[in-house]
Parts: sequence; structure tokens; C-alpha cells
Amino acid sequence: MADNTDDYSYDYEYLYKIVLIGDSGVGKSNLLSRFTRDEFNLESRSTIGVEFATRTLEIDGKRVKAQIWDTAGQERYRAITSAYYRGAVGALIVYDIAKTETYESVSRWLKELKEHADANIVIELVGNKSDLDHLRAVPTEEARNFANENNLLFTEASALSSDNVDLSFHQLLKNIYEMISKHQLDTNDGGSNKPTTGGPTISLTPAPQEKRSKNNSNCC
Amino acid sequence: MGKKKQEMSQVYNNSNNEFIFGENGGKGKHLSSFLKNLSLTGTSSTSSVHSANTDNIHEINSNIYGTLGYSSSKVSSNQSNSGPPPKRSVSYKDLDDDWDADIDVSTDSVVRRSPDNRNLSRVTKVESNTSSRSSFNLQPSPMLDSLYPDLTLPATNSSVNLNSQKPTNEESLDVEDYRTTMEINRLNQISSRNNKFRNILISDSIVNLQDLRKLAWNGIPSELRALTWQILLGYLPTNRARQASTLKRKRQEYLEGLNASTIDFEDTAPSNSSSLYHQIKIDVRRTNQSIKLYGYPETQQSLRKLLYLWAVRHPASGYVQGINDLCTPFFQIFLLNYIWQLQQRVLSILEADTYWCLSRLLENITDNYIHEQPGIIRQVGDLRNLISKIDLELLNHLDHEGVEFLQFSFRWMNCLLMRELSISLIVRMWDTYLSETPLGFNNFHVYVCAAFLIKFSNDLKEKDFQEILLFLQNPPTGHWKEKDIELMLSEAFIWQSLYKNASAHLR
Ligand SMILES: Nc1nc2c(ncn2[C@@H]2O[C@H](COP(=O)(O)OP(=O)(O)OP(=O)(O)O)[C@@H](O)[C@H]2O)c(=O)[nH]1
Ligand SMILES: [Mg+2]
Repeated sequence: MADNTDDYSYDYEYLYKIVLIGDSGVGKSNLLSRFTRDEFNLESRSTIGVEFATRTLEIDGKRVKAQIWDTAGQERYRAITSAYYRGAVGALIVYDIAKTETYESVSRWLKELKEHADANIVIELVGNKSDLDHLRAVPTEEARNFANENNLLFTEASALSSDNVDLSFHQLLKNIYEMISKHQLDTNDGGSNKPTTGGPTISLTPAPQEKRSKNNSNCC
Repeated sequence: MGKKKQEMSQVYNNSNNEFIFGENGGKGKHLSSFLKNLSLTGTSSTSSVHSANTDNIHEINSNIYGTLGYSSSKVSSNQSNSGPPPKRSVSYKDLDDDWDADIDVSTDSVVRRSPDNRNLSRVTKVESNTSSRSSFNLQPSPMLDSLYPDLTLPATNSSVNLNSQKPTNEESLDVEDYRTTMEINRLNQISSRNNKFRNILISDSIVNLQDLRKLAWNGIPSELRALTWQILLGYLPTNRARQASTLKRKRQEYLEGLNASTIDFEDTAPSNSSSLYHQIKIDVRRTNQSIKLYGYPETQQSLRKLLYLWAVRHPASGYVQGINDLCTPFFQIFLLNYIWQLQQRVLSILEADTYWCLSRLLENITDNYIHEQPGIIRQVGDLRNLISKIDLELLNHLDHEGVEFLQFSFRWMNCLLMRELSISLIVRMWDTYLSETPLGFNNFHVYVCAAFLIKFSNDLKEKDFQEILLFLQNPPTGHWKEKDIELMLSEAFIWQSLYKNASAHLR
């Protein structure tokens, strides 16, 4: 998976819409600025509503453009932000490894996605602030197990140190890419391993096996 | 003057107000430079006016807020035996030496008005080092009292003839002289404007709101801004006889409200506090790091307190991210009024004033922050509708690119453009918003947003979906000056008068 930081706006073959969700203060905006601009800001201002950024990468020789929507974490903005889930093919649910409550909210965020996003959306769980290992409140294994049980990709990352930031996004985009290619191959034999009923478009549901192996090879 | 400044900063550094100015960074260390940084209208004309002209203004403020250890025509030396203070003649030679430098900040000295200062030779003993640990002091304190002096009517004869200061050497009319003349004219203009404010604010027993609005719509001199804003918001009554007692009551009420809460406001640690307080904590820290003031723990604690109190008292919306931005103009502007006495109790007064004015402001836009934020949704719809009337071509382009108004203007409504414009410009904008009836934060703001968007119309029409969103997320307003804002406000005003009645739902 080659990386290409140059973002030629029109020069891409695939455009994937991604949403970034999770409690306020877990570091969503900083993960995004690290990924798209290689910037980190210790005192960044809270996100109001939704913000937008993009980056184009190369996956399997194809230029894939990620259009990422960073959302406000606070409950009050839920009505606004959930409107952005529609049409997203991927989601990053972020929590703070040093703050249990943000991890406990993950199932609520999953539920949000179930209610408002397309059924086939590929989801990755990201434990941010891995640089704060001395303050760790959420054990890696616990989160990883939760991710496996719920068919989510998983990484721990740090927007501050940049550890695993690129990897988290790459992993998500690659999975989306593979789902879509796989679907295109499978279109004729009556569906993939997880046929979706009533999904409006193509099936993006990843094969659990494949995902797990990805997890094991890639992270933490 | 350099010497005086030095003296003053020494005085200052000995005081226990060090915290305001931080440990290092020469810039923030001295009161004068701090004030200059803080002086939101920084380069604007009014803040550099001094001497005779500003005396008037200080008089007005002190009539309501008390003598704040503020002496504008001399620096009273800290300790006794330095002889009579040098009398400073009015001279516009040292214009860069702004009035901030003349503030007497000594916390343990008798603060006097200069004797030549018309009828205001009040003597006030400013208490020092009474840093009581408790931040809530419900006893009426000397400090509180000093803020409610008798509201006597000062002589109104303050027409200042600055021309008399002009050097009379007619022979050498060189560039220097020409500049001086221009400068004097400029100052005279400001002076006459200040006098107009002064007349409205103190010449009658009831402040004429309509006149005040009319005058303030075009901007308020920074020294009178705190007072004027409070009157425009209805926090301070127009009946001058009731002003002092109202302030006293409101501030007391605020303290009592805080006292009733069980929150430990000194607690900043990430912990399992209530989710409300937690949200406030993490946001206050992120309020506005480009301004040093908001990095100080004391400031942050004040913001936590007042935001928390407002949130629990307004459960329908509670605290919503972005409201922390909205309290900063008040906090800064009122701080400017009190900075020279900034101690614990003054800080709580500052908090209380910020709290009440924030409450007044938010009353007008409650719908913006309740569940599902219907006020904002309506405003976003109104904006779109307006653009369809004003700049259909732009609207068509946005539609064609698939850009939705919610995607870029949600934040404009939620934070009243505070994320798009520098605080000094916002403050100027609020002069006008506060002078609108009803207050401009709701409907008028939509017209301003339309003017704001249309400023970039030509740029936007060249851009595609992604470029548009990236552009509007970070609009190029860094070089904007007050006059850009004033132009935008005028455009908004025109559109409001054109379209207000045409579209009933915009009301
Ligand atoms: N130590 C550490 N701090 C981080 C990291 N990422 C973010 N932060 C800090 O956490 C705070 C919140 O970060 P944001 O990126 O603004 O959080 P957010 O999730 O976007 O918050 P909302 O916009 O309110 O939803 C900031 O002070 C960041 O500097 C990280 O990887 N490590
Ligand atoms: Mg954010």
C-alpha cells in the first residue's frame, strides 16, 4: 500500500466518504489533522457541527481519495452530525484510552451508526492517545475483543506522536476498497458471505476472517 | 514616560497579580503591554486617545463603577516621598504612549485623582493583599462598595479644544506640522464622538436608549464599551439612579447561585465529574489559545463557573459547545474595565457581569441550543432563502456542486461567526448587534452571514465542492479591518430593510 501525500483534487479513481465519530475530546480532530496535514495541536478548539478534510492515497495501484467528515462529539450536536452518516462507506469510532467513559460510549456510537448509516459501512475502532500509556484506563485486549465481537477493525493510535495514525486510516480504506472490489467480483454468484437485505447499494460487509487477520498483522 | 512605565511595572510585579501576566515573555509581563494586547481595538483610534479627552470617559465609568485606581493625567507614585506628581501637560507628541501606561496599578497605595481633574477629587483607599481564600464573599466588601459611588452628575462642560495645543509656530509649516494638524483633527473628531456618548450616558437621569443605539450602531469608544454594552443588553437599567443597586444585587445573586452548587471549580483534572461539568472543563481549556488571557488558570476557572451556572439554570439547552466562545467578548471587555484592580473579588464581579450579560444574550437565541437546535436550522434555511434573492448565481453554483448550507453555515450560527473572525472584529460587530432592536444576534445575524458569504461570491463560483468547503471552513479574513466589518454590517442592514418584510418567515 503506497502512500501519496499529494492530493491532486481530480486525480483519483475512487472517492470514499468516511465519518469520524466519538465522544468530545477524544482527539478526532487531531487524528484528522495528523492524517491530512501532519499537524497536531494541543489546544485545538472544539469542533462545531461538522468539518471536512481529504487526502488521496494509493491502494493496489489505484488512487483512492478519502473524504473525511469530522463531527462534533457533544450529544447536543447529534441531530446535525448524524445527517452526515448517510452515504459514508467507512467510519472511525474514536475513544480515549485514558478515559473509560469514552470507551463505554462506543456501543452508543455503534448504535448511532446502525440507525443512521448505510448498513454496509465498514467500521474501525480507534483507541487514541496511546502515548498516555501511563494513564491507561482501557486495556488493549479488552477493546480488541470488543472489536472482534462486533466485526470492527481495531487499532490504538496517537495523534500526538503520530503512532499508527496513517495505519488506522489505511487499514480502513483498504478494507473498504477490498469490499468493493470483492463485491464487484461476486456480483454474479448471488452474494457474498454476508448478504445484506435491503441494502440500497452494494454490499460492503467485510468477511470477518479477513478482518481479523488484518488486525493481527497490523496493529499494536 | 519610559521611566514611568518602568516604575509602574515594578509596582506591578511586586503585587500579587503576577498571575495575570505570566511568568515569562516580556510582552505579557507588564500591565501596559498586556492591556495593549488585550485592548481589542488595538490599532483602532479610540484606544490611543488620552489626557483630557479620556478624562471624560474615565469619569463616566467611575461614576458607575467607582474610582478604579485610575488616574489619567499622572502616575501617582507608589510610596510617599517622591514629591508632587509631575503634572502632565496635554501634548500629542507622545501619541504612541497610550493611556494604558497611566493606569495606577499599585495595590497598596492611596489612589488619588489629580487635583486638576474637575470635580472628581475623590480619594479611594484600595485594599490590598486581602486575598481571602474563599472566592465567594457574600459580605458586602469595601471593594464592592467602592464600585457603587454616588452617582453625581459631573459638569458637562467638557468640550476640549485641542487646537489650543497646537504649536503656534506658523512659519515652519513642514510635513511634521501637517501630520500634527491631521492628528489633532482626528483626535477632535474622536473627542466629539466621545462627548456624544458621554452626554447620553450621564446627562439625564434616564439614559435615552434610542439615542444610544443610534450612536453605538456605528461603534463604541473602547473605554465606554463595557458600560454601553451592559445598558444595551438591559443588564444595567437605563434609570441611572438604579444602576448601582442593580449591579450590586445581580452580582450578589450570581455569587449566591454559585454558592448553592457543589462543584469544585478548582478541579481541572480529567475525572469522572458530571458529564456537564466535564464538557465545560475540556472546552474551557480549548477556548481561545491564541489569546494569552484564556490560558490563565484564573480565567479558566471563572469561565467554568459562569458557564456551569448558566447551564444548570437553563436545562432546556444546558451547556452547548461554542457558548464558551460567546462569553469571551464580555469577559475581555469587562476585564478591560477592571484590570487595574484585578483581585479575587473583582474577578467575581467580572464573572458576575459576564454571566448576566451572557444570559441576556442567550435569551435571544435559546432556540439555537435546545434539542435539535431548531433556531440554527431555521437560520440556515433563512440564509439560503436570502441568498436566493441576493445572489441567485451563487446559490445555483452551490447547488450544482452539491454544497449544502448546513455544511458551512451551521458554525456561523452556532458561534455567531466567532470562529471566522478575530475577536477584535467580533467586538465591533457586537456594537451593532447590541444596538439593533430586537438584538441582532438572531435575525440580523442571518443578514450579516449573507453579506459574509457574498463577500466571497466570486471566489466561490470558481470552486468545486471540496474547494468550497475547505475555503469556507477557513475563510481568509486574517487581514480584515474594522472597516471591512462595517461595510459588511451596512450591507446586512440594507438587505434587512429590503427583505425583512418581504419574507414573513424571516422574522
Ligand atoms: N496526549 C494526547 N493528547 C491528544 C491526542 N489527540 C488529541 N489530544 C488532545 O486532546 C484534546 C482534544 O482533542 P480534539 O482533537 O480537539 O478532540 P475532538 O474529539 O475533536 O473533540 P470535539 O471536537 O469536542 O468532539 C486536545 O487538547 C488535544 O491536544 C493524543 O494522541 N495524545
Ligand atoms: Mg473535534
